[in-house]
Amino acid sequence: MNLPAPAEAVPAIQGHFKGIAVVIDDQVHEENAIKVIVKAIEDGGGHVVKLQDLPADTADLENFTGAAFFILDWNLVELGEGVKAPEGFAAAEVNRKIEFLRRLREHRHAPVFIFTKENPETVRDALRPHADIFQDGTSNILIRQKGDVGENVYRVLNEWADQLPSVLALKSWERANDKAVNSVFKDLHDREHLWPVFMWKMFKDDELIPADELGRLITRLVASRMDSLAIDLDAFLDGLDAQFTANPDRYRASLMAVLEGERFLRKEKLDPDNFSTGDVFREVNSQTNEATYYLNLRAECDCIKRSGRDPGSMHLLRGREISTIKVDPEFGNVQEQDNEGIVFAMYEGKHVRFGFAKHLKVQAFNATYKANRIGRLLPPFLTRLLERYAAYSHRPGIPRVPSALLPAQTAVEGAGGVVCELPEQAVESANDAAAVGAVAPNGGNE
Amino acid sequence: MRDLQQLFKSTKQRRKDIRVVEVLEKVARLFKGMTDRARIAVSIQPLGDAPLVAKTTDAVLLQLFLNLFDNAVYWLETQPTNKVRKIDIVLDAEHQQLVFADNGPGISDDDLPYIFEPFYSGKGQDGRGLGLYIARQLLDRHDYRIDVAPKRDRVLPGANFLISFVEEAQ
Repeated sequence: MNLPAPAEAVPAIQGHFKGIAVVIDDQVHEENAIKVIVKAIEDGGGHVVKLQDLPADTADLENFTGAAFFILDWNLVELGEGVKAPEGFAAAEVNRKIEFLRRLREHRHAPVFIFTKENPETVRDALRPHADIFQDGTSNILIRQKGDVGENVYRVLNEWADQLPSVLALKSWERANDKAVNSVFKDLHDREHLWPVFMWKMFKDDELIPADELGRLITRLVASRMDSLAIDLDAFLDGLDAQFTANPDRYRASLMAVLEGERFLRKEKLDPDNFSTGDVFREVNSQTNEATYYLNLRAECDCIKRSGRDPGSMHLLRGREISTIKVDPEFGNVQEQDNEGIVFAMYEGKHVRFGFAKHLKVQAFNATYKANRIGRLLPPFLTRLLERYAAYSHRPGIPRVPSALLPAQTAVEGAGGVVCELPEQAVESANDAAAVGAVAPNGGNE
Repeated sequence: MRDLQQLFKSTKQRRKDIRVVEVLEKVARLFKGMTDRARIAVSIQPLGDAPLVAKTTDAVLLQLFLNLFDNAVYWLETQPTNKVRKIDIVLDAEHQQLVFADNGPGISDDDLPYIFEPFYSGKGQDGRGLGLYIARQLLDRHDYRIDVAPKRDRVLPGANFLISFVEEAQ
């Protein structure tokens, strides 16, 4: 991680919206209102891709992945004065735009600026039932009357983005990421233009899936070159406090959902035919309704399908949902015994305790387990759990504390179990003899 | 009510000779996404060499065909998907008329007397019952006419509308 970029990170006119704008408007070459907007973008240094209609349903929207933002005219079909769109046609037109926004989101989560000649509330009413793409005041869609924007397009966009932490985070991360990606590829290309082939051969020689490995390598190299984001969200903190005060339950639920997004990747985002370290499976007992979780601990290199060979089995650690946890008030960490790993807010707001069993369940990634997979635990939560399990499975056996030295005092419940308070006299004697031994919280070997 | 107000709003467009097929093709293009998705085959067939020309405004023809297409697509979508869905439009310049037909469920005898009445719709809650009413009112203003096509002019087994561009005697 390098030092934060200097203030030049945000250019004067374009602000967060440096790059290519895609303008979708049937009147983009004729109507004055949109021409003023296009000119303002171009004068500001941006480039505009002009489309007179939405891309076809079958169009590959990956072609839009480089766009910084989109401008969409809500009134894409001009029927002329005195002509009204019949209800079926009007509904189909709205659906067409909603489907486009939905598809676009899968490829390019960039701000979309919707202009309308109508009352913006009409557009909001049409979008509100589709909470996956639009939520008042918090989505990446801004709706304005076309005439209200004009040459102030960048100012309006930036004022809006400044109110939305998710847009700010996206735009500042994109700038840092683009810079890092460029740096990686320029650097490696300058060393040797065949660099990807060299790496490809190495991965093949190791019988790995070269495409996967190359992707991981580039991701690591990009991450190592990322600057700190040029972003400051302190201004939003008061709003967060206000939300907590207004509705604590909703606030906690939102926070849990965000925490899950930070540490857990749901199955919809995973390759259905391959498993990996960290994959989590969930079985529900139909009688007790109790859920059992399994976490795959097997090393990543053993989870890979190599040429001509099956990837082998998974090594699963069993877990259960827990409703109460102990948290260290000073550091905010979940307190765990040596023989367990607890993942806080792992899935659907539930905490899961994985017990470090002596024997792991060896299981093929069969149809049942494909169906039961709920997602994948991500680093550093996975890394921590693996390291703790490794430490547990290789723990050295040490002698127990002689019973004659155990005090009769009251045991105090602490972080790692029962902590015994030794009599002062015994400690002093031990120090004198330079023979103080470790006290295993769980009593030695187990 | 806004639809009705809009209907009687004066437009600045002046009547002129318009090739009907041009407006029809424009509306067919506007509906292409809907007709493609619903797997409806649209056929526009001019009879003879001479074009069908109407003395009216673009807005009137546009509104007329928008409403007819909208109706046809709605009713065809209620049909089983395994059935071939069709909209056929036959333009007859010699008789100054046009037949707009689909092979949907057609118009029931119960509905027949009322389909050009305002707020009468066979679509239940899906319809406001203004499409055909507006179409007839607009044509009336130009002394043209829309009716359910008589048997001899029917093109397809569903709903068939005959639009006559012969100016009726005042």
